[in-house]
Amino acid sequence: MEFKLTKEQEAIRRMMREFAERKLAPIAAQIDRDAKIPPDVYPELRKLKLFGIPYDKKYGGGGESYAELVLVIEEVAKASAAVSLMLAGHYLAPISLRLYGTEEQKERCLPKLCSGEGIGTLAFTESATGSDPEAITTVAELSGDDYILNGSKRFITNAPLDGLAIIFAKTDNGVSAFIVNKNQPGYSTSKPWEMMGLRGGQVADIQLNDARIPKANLLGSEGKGYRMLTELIAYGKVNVSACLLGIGEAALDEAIKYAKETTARGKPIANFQTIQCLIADIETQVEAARWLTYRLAYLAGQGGDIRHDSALTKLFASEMATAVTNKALQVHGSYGYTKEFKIERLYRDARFGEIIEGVSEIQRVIIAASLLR
Amino acid sequence: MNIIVCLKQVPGTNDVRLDPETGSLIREGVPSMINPEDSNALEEALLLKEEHGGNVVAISMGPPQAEEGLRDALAMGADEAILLCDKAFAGADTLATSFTLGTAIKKLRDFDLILCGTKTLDGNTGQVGPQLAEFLDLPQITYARRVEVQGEILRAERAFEEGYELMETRLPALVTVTKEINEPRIPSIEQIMQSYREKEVRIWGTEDLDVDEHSVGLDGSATKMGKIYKPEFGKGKVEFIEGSTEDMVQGLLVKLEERHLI
Repeated sequence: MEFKLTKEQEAIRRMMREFAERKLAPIAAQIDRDAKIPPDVYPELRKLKLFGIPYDKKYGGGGESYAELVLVIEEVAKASAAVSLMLAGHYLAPISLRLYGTEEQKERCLPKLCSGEGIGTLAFTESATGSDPEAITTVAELSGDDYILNGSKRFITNAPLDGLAIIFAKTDNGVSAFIVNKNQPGYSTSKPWEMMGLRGGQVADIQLNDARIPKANLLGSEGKGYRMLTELIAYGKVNVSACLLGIGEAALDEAIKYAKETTARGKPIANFQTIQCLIADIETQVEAARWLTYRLAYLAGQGGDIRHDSALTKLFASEMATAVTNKALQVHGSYGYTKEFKIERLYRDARFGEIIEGVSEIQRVIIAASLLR
Repeated sequence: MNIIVCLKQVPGTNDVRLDPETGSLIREGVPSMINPEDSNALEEALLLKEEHGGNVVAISMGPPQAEEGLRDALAMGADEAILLCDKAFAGADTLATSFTLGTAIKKLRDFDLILCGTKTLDGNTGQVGPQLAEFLDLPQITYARRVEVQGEILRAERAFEEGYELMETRLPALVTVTKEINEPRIPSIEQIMQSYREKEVRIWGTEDLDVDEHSVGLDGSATKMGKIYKPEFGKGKVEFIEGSTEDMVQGLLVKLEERHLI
């Protein structure tokens, strides 16, 4: 049993940390304030080939594994959780193609996604569905050689960004998935939602008005959409767990820095046991989340059913991020409650973790279901 | 252009502790990185190679873990990497370091230019570059913040406190660079993986350099470190100098002169 990164993985972590510190950290507050990732960030990410890490080189991917992807997202999240959310959301599209696409679909669609020229999106949630797939109302009607999609989707990450979306809609025999170009007629998006945290992540509604999708863009088989969705969301939780791990680590770093630099009665507050207890709790939880996340990345690379493990990892990582950002803010005292200190942003960013990719309550249902059947 | 770049691995954190018994830096468990100005030197070499063609060799003297910095250099685009690694090299001062590097460089193919960072984060002497130039009998320009090459002529802007000088030399030469000169590139995931899977870091010891053990490392050093220690900070007292602005300035000058600070 080994619990260490390879030399190559350490090198990737090192380089990504330098990139994140040099290019993302200085603009993270601006991204949060403006709720927008500046357009010149995307070419920097493309240059480092960050959009297709675990996919086959013949489709323009990096040919690496989920372990490397998780390390990248973790380091990005430490600097800017909003940018990490964009990456995490993007990866739901290429994994959909890898698991369910025909060879023709992979050859046609993966290169643009892997290069980052097109940003990926997965669109299932609607205003009435939340985590309830039975309530889906978007429909896809077969008309000749095309499906006509009508309906709307809510809270979709990367919806406004040019690229490909995997959209779920009701067909005659159940829920099906479709590959949709985001710049095609009939696809439009709302203004991005003004969110509490992860501001800069473009989360918006999608409106489909007679969007004509060729039959060749049906992903997998008709009516198998829900089964596909549960597997895809499991992979989504790998990336989200990595985002939350990065947020947790950033909170730990901020708490330690503040505790060492701030004095009370002539001594650093790091000398006081109450502060020491808070920081010890933070590190303990972050480390547990780290190894659960790395283990999940390993399992994702093995190709088996990760639904149970991804639910428990994401559940832990999300509650960890909420808890440790709260404790780190407590270390900062009143200053942590101001926008002058990074912890204020981390605290807001973390909260989304218990909601995205299925709320924590649903993760508990999933975990219990596989234990108690 | 054939360019050699000298790199050093330094602690990658400001939070460095001293061993209270030996007085030396505790490096175990401390992450390392390429000395920042050496990264600038490497980036400048790569830019010159892109402009003029040629080859870039990265060379470093250090313990086995210094290989990681050379792998990073290969990922950035260096063509070759050499690690000078031998127990005999340990404890070297700047003179012994420049002797070892210089001996290795003499073994390599002919070169046009050697680039180094001006100084390192840990030692901060700024001596290895100039000593290496003297050992190899090369003209040198230090503190270069801009470099350009035309044919056999190298021109540089050399920074100093009041401004900068325009310098010119014929190649081959040695130049030390400052961080102002460029922003080092960050390699892609693919380049990082290639540096580990497809490229070699050659490791040379005393036998490969054909040097006597006593001419390198601690034995070959002209200077020996006596002690490194953190100064003790005692409790001071604050003195207030009062009066008009002129009185306060005069009072301050007197205090500074009394303490031989001016």
